[in-house]
Order: sequence, then C-alpha cells, then structure tokens
Amino acid sequence: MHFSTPIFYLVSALVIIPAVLMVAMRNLIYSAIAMIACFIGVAAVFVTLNAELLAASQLLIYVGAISILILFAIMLTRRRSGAICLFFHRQSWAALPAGAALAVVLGIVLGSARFSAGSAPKNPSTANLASLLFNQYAFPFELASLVLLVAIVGAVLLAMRERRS
Amino acid sequence: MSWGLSFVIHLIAALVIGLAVPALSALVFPFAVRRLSGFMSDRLGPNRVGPAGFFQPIADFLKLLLKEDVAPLKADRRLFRLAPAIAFITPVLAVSVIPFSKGFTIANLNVGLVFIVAFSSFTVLGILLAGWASHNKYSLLGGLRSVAQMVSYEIPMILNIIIIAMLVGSLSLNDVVGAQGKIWFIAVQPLAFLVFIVAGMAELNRTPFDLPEAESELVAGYLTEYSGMRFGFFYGLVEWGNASIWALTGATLFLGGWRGPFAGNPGWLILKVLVLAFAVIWFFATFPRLQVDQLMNFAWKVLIPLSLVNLGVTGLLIILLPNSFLPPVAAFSWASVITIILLMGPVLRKALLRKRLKLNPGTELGTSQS
Amino acid sequence: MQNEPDLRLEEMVLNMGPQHPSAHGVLRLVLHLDGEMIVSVDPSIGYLHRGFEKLAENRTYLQFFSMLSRLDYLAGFFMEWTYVRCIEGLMEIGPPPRAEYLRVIAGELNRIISHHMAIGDYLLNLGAVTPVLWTFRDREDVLDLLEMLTGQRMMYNYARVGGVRYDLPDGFEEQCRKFLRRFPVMIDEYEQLITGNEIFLARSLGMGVITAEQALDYGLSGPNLRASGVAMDLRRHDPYSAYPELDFDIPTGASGDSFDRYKCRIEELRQSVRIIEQALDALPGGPVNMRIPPMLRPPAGAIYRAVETGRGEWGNYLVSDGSLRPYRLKMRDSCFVALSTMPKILPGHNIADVVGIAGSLDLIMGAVDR
Repeated sequence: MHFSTPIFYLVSALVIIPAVLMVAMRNLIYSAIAMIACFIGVAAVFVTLNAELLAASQLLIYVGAISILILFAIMLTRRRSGAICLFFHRQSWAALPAGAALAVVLGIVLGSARFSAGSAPKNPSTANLASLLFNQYAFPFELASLVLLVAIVGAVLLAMRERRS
Repeated sequence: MSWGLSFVIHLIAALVIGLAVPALSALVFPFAVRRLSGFMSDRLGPNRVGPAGFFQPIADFLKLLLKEDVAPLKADRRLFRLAPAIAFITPVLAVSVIPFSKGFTIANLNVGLVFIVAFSSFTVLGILLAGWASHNKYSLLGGLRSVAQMVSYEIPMILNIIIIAMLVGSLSLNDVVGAQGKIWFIAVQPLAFLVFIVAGMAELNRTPFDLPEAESELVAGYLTEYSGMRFGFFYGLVEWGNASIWALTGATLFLGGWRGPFAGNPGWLILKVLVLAFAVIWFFATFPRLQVDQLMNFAWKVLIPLSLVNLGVTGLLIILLPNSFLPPVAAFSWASVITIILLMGPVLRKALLRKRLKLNPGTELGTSQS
Repeated sequence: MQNEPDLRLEEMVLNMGPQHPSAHGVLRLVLHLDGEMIVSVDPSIGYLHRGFEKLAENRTYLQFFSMLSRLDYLAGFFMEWTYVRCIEGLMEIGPPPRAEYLRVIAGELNRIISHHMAIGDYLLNLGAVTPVLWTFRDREDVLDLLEMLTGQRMMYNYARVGGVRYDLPDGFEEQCRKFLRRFPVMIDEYEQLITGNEIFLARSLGMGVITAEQALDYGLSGPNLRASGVAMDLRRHDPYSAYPELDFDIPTGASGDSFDRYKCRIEELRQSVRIIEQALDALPGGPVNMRIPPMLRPPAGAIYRAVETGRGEWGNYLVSDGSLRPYRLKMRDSCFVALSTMPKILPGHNIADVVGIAGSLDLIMGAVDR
C-alpha cells in the first residue's frame, strides 16, 4: 500500500463527513461551518493531486468569499434562537425529485468519465492553466464574468431601490 | 526519501515554525507597541518587568492564562470556543510559504502568493464566528464590520500582489525574492507598496482602520465577550501573528526578502519585518480612526481604481517592452506616487470643505476673532 | 417578524452606556439604528444624580462649599466662583482686587485643564491615542500649579466669600510664567498633530452641525455656541471680576461643526495664556480676603450669577430667606443644554460619530446630573 492511500482516505473523509453534517445539522450556522469544512476538504483533495493553484483558489474563493457571504446573510437575517428543522421540512417532497434528478446526472457523468489513477502531472504549470483559460476557454470565462457582472448590477439595483423607498 | 516521510517532516517543520512565528510576534510586538507608542506620546510605557519591561508580555500572558475563561450565558459555547482557533489557522499556515533564506522555505509552492492570500480567509471566518457566537450586539457589529472591511481591502491587496507577480512572472515567493537581486521592488513599484501598506493596515484592523475593535464606539468589537486566554489568543497570537505575516509578505514582495548586504540570511528578513512593524506602531500613535463609510469609500473608490490603473499600465508596459519593462514601470509608479502625495491633501480638503459649504452655506475654514 | 415580506432591515436598538468606554462618565444613549445609521437618539441621564440642589438647602452656606467642585469635577473652581459671586451679590460686598485677579488666574488655569480634557478626550473618541496623552502631560503641569495655589489638584475649595483662601505661594509666579512660555509651543504641537490631519478633518468637518439659530434656540453657550458663529462670552458681555481690565479675543467658528468646536477650544487655550500673563503682570497688592461673619446670613432675596466656564455658562440662582441655609439653589448647566441638542443633530450620522460628536460637545455628566 502506498503511503498516499491513507491520506487519500483521510482527505475523502474530510470531504464526505462535513458534507453529510451540513445537510443533517439543525442549526443553520453549524451547517454553514460544515460546508466550509467540506470546502477545505476539497482544497485538500486538490493538494493531493498536486494542483496547488486550484487548492489555493478553492480556499480563497469558497472559504474566503462565498461561505463568508453565506454566513453574513444568515447572521443578518436569522434570529439566533430557534434552530431550524431542516429534515422533514415542508419542501422535502419537492427536494426528493430534485435530488433524484441530480443523482441521475451525477451518475451519468461519473459513469462516463474515465479515471486514470496516478496520472496527475507532477507540477502542472500555472502558465499552462492560464493559457488554457484565456485561449481555449476564453469564451466561457468571459461569459462567467458577464453573469457575475449582471448579478452585481442586480444587487446594486435592489439595494438602491430599497433605499429610495 | 519517500513522499510520505518528507510529508511528515514538512508537517512538523511547518507546525514548529508556524507556531513559533505568531508566538514570538505576540511577545515582541506588544512590547514594541507599548514602548514605542509610549515614547511617541511622551510617556514611559511598561518598564518594570525584566530589562526595560521586556518581559511584560510574558507577565500578561501568564495573567491571561490564569484568568477564568468566561463565556456569556447565551453565547453559542462551541462556536465561541472554536472561533479563536479558526482565526489562528491563518498565521500558522501562512508562514510555511515564506522563504526565510536561500533554499529555506517550509513549503516551496509555485503558487505561494495565492496561498498567503487564501489563508487569510480563516481569520475573517474566525472573527465573524466570534462576533456571532458572543451573542452581543457590539460583538456582532464589530464582527460584521471587520469582515466587510477585510473582504473589501483584500481586493486592492490581491491586485497589488498580482502586480508583483507580473513583474516577476511567477507566483512563487522564491522567484519573487530571486527577481530582486539587483533592485528591490519598492524602488520599481512604490505605488503598489503604498497600497499594500494601506490595505495591510485595514486587513490587520490596525489604526487608522481599527474600526472592528473601535474601543470608543463598539467597546471592543468582536473581542468584547472574550476573556482570559481566548482573548489572548485573538489579541496576541492572531492579530500580531497576522501582523507579522503581513510584514513578512511585504518584506518578501517589496524589500527583497532575505536579501541584504554581506550574505542573505533570515536576519535581514527579520530586520525588514521590524521596520514594517515600526510603521504600524507609528500609524497607531499618530492617526485617528476612519469612519466605516469613509473606510469603504476609500477601498472601493480610491484604492481599487488606483490598483486597477497601476495593474493595467504595468501589464501594458510589460507586454510592450518585454525585455526592459522595469525602468518605465518604475517611472510611472514614482510619478503617480509623487502626484498622489502632492494632490491628496489639497483635494481631500477641498472636497470636505465643499461638503461643509453645502451643509451650511457661507462658511469657511478657520476661526475669526472679534 | 420572521415572516415579514418586506426585505428592509429591522431597526436595531443599541443601548450605548451608561457603562461604555466613551460614555463620558455615565451618559446613556439609546440609539435606534438603521444599519450603522442613526435614526433617533434618546439620551437618558440621571445616573450621576446626587441631589446637589436639595443638599444645598440642608447645609449652611459654608458647609456646601466643599461639594461644589464635585459638580463639574474637571474644572471645579468655576462652580465655587459662581456660588461665592451669588453670596457676595446678596451681601453686596466685593472682594479685594488682588482676590479678583487670583480668581481669574485660578479660573483660567481651570479653563486650560478643562479644554485639555475636552480636546484629548474628543480625539480619543475618534481613535487617536497620542493627543490625549500629550494633553494630559501638559494638564499635569497645570494641576501642579493649581496644587501650589490651592493645595488641591481637583477639588479646590479655593474661593471664599469675600476673596480667596490663600495668597500666591512662593515660587508660583516663576513656575506659572515658565509654563506660560512653554505652553503655546505645546498648543502648536497639538495643532501639528491634529488639525492638519486628513483623517481628523474627514471625521470632524461637517459633522454634528449646529447652526447659529439652533444654538441660540437651544440656549447653548461656551465654545459650543461660539463655534456656531455667535461671539457670546460672559467674560465680555456680562463682565465680572477682573475681566474688564484684561484684554482677550473671543474665538468663533463659522459652521458649528465638530471641527469648529475643536478649533475654538484650541484658540481659547491661547487666549487663556494671554489672560493669565496679563493677570500676573497687573496683579495688585493688598489682602486676598476680607472679614466676613463666621455664621453667614445673606440678606433675604434672590440673585442669579453666571460664570463663563470652559464648557459655557454656569449659572446659580440663589434664593435666600435670611437664614443660615440657602432657601433654594438652582444650577444652570451648559452641558445639559449641549446634551439636549444631540437628538436634533445626531440622526443621519454614523454610530462612530455619536462618540465623536459627543466628544466635541464636551459633556461632563457630573454637571449634567448634579
């Protein structure tokens, strides 16, 4: 057994256990923290794949920005008292088909993908990544930035309208 | 050496140095702050414990350790206790990518710069949780303020780190130090250095951006309910640990890292860190604190556009003159710095006076005598 | 609340004080906030109420003396001065001229320490740590002078009906003149540190504007009124004691914002130096006290006398029924007036400005609550 195998299991546990906890926790803040732990686990997976840039980006964007935003939203809108029951919520009947659909999609993707163990390049160059991102995938990249821009404009518009009223 | 063994060795080295740096800075910096700001405000500062009061921080830590660890009744105990530990992750981990001398980096990553920025999110997280878990309005306000501030100022910080990365052509901190063999980047990009200092003050919640713990308004911000060693954790280890990470990063990016006359060694790096820390203390003794909306305006309307322009021009010059871009970049940066220093005061004053005139027409600055 | 369809943030009620680092003693402000913006302010006073006016009715005229400097405990001599002026007015006696000059000297020294506290504390509220230490350094010199003159640093008990308690002690004049020579340099030093600072300007220009009409409507007095452009000073407009013989300017502001209030106090420091210098030069000889009956029974009647303190008009309305004890003593305090303007001027400002504006109004709760 290679030394990295236990580390792989460790890291996988770091991803899966928080993911389950996130859904199961009754307190919204705790869910958010479990989600952050899950993000960190994903970053650790990237590290084991020698993709340090991706790991750093995962930390920076998901832990540093997105989860902070989510925590911010929860803290500003919810009273701290009253743990929110997430299991058997009224919406669970709608969640079931949605979850099933997601499982099907993921199953198809996973089934069709070809995994080649141990083929991760030793040192993927940041320059390679950049040239891929800005040449081959320039259009989706710009599209994503456009979507974000629209979201920002929308948020500002909402805030402005609220202030005016 | 197998991959696993080297992993374990690196882990131990990272933990030892990662814990040593915040601990040492928690000992040295509070002492320096008190004595130096004491000197600046014409008083003595603590001078009783040990030579010139040097052991005062140790005495303080002993006191904090012995104090009762109190959590408010309605606080979320688990998060309340977890928050300082989460915030402490940042200084411990970020040290590991700093090059201390030639060939001495705990984790020689080729994306070290991105990692330093990424690790800083843990402090944000810790502060946010501390503010929420304390169940106190001052704590919550302080926590929210602090996070809004840190997230806002992270942007100019990152933009300026990108400028340096462009000059070097690499994200590795070793390459950054390697590229400064002839000339330090402070001479090439003084504008980026200035923005780095200002954004750093805001990231570290230091004067004049120390709003999250604005004592006169929010009692102690997110620290309000903390006592004993948990307070010590936040105040000493996290804050000063982060300060030394910031200073280490700044020294590496702009002041040539471990390079120096005679032989490059960690001593030079420590010296540069102390110089930057001195700047922090100097600001602390000099400035009042900004207001939260002024703070946000400054980040979004001044620092970010400035950094973007700097980034754009630097990038353009690098593309246009791929072989000799340093002199024109330096010329641009110095010119902008001098312009800003000359214009900032008068422009700001004029804007403020215009605002005052609008409030109350027919008024001028100054006093008249009857 | 949870199902409210409206997205608007609910109003947050923040109870600032009475135990708050910048509550100026025990001021309690109930703030209604929309985010960080103040919607309304409800000052709640009375936490330092000691029933002075009632206590005065149960003590003989002379027994009440020692309590007077506990009202505005930062400049206690003014309270004594007002009270003796009332009694002297009822008895229709005037102290010897030397005593009047000594009262002026003690009063102006009190004005200096009062403004020291005002400026230092204001800047501390804005988050600057050094100014308060500098002003305290110089305040210490003035306190030494007052200790020489009166035997006490804060609770002077110096004024007497028909004079003052002691004549000048040996060495007072040299030490006072030495201080007066050095002090203008120190004022310049404060101004170098504070007045030109862009952050201070941004925090004070246009903040907490009180227009001249508002100031007069509320009945403000002292530097708070003069900062709004009304050149009203009791020393000039209701001349008392030795002031008619002394030459001084009345500094006024123009716009009535925090900056003008600060600037007025700085200028008044300079004027106080001038007044003390002239008083020392023109100090007449003769006794400092006169014989008055040990059991003081002022003739029946009512009288109002006011003195310009560092904070404005301090007035006493004394009703005597010819007995050993005052029938009624009503005190008029300028801090109470200044405090009552806060609900008017604070809404629309930021939380951070609450303490800033409160600091610039120079409130002292000992005088407000009495």
